[in-house]
Amino acid sequence: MIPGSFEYFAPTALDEALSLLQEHGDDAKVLAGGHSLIPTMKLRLAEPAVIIDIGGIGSLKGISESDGNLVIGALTTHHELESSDLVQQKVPLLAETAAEIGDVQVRNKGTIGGSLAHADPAADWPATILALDADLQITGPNGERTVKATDFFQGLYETDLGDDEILTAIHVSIPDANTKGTYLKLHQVASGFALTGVAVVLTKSGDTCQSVAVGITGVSEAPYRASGVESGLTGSALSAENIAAAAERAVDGITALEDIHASEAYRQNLAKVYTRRAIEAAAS
Amino acid sequence: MLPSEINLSPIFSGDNSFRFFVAVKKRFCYNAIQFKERSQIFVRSLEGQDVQKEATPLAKKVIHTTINGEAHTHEVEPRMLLIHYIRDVVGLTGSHIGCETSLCGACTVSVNGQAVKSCTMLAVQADGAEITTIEGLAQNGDLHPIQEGFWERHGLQCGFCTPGMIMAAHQLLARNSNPTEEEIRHGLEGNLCRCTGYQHIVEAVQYAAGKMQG
Repeated sequence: MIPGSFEYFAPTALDEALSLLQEHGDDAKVLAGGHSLIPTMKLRLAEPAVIIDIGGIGSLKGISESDGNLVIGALTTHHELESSDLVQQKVPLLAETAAEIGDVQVRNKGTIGGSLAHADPAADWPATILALDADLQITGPNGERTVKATDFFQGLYETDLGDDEILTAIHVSIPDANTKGTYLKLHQVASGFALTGVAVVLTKSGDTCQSVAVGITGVSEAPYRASGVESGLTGSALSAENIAAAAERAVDGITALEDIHASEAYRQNLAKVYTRRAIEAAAS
Repeated sequence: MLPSEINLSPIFSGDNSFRFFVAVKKRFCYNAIQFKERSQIFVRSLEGQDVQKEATPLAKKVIHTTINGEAHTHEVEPRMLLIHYIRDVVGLTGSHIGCETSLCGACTVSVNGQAVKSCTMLAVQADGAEITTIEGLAQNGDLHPIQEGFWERHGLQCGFCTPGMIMAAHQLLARNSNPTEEEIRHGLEGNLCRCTGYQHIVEAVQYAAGKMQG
């Protein structure tokens, strides 16, 4: 399987990449780690005339701490997130999520920015990024803007990212000591993608749920925040009954996907069960 | 090409059917249509019509790599995959092509110290990289301890997955010199063996870990 022909550019600065994007418009695709785009090109489902390989843009790499936030460059690989001491110390949920993605080789090459921009409905990052209420930093011809994760994902492979824009960084606010996160996933056995993936960020006040954010992937056309679960649990005691009752609302207002791996009803059930288990783990 | 004209069945019988099908529908078709149209214009231009109007020659690119310590410079098409570059251009056929879908790991090589599936990387992405393939592990005719482990512990039957398994094990031991059995199994999860030889493979890696620690 060999991709179709394309013209290849490897800019080393963000400005250069943005002007190439402006010049080539819809003909161009941005290549980061390539672990979503290259397989699609090998199947000839994508035949972009131009590839803009941003892998050499150093300013898009790395993880740093700034004003109570972790700032993650879009080109940071899953492995770098999984193994970073800073991430494990400040937002362990990110490292936990990274470790669930694909396999070692995929994590060595795939990037968080590439995954988010591709917006596969079964990708892992969207659930966690939603639950952490992250801000996504985007650069385009008119400069920089920031979009909330909740506004970023718009549908199947559809995001808020414009054709002439590049996702450059992810900003995650570092949670306080009373806040715990969990990412729980059922792997599709062959591909490793999430049949259901639930990320929970829970803040406790004694035995009461002060606030909870639940991000769910793999279930619907687009990843989503399970607002019914969140409102059902906030302010309540974190008892097994309350958690189970709130988790029942995991697919409220959501149309679950159906494919050869899972029926609609099975996915709905998975979402509820994994939501319950993830909240229980975060509350323990 | 419209979605209805794409014969999906041979490709889409596998795992990613849903995802890739919707990818066609939702996002990529437009590019494909545009590119087909451009290709047709290009063909016409080769026949002598309107040559000036076609402005996109798909240039080859010169890449420099160091593979197993040896420097290479080649001109490649940007679409050439790294595994094809290693096997067909450089002539190192130890790395195998198995599934071609980033699942089986037979094509695993090390690029700048990171194990990658070379079927899912373009050769141009490896410009300037230090690459190690299975051929680069033995030194002065002596097997690498991982290779020796596969020999001593019968870590292979047909041997097709072995180069990739060994390169993945090489990455594992570089990051964790004394892995538990569970860590070995987790570290090799990106590599498939169809002779069901996992138990011996794990033992081979344990042998190598012991030997490398001296």
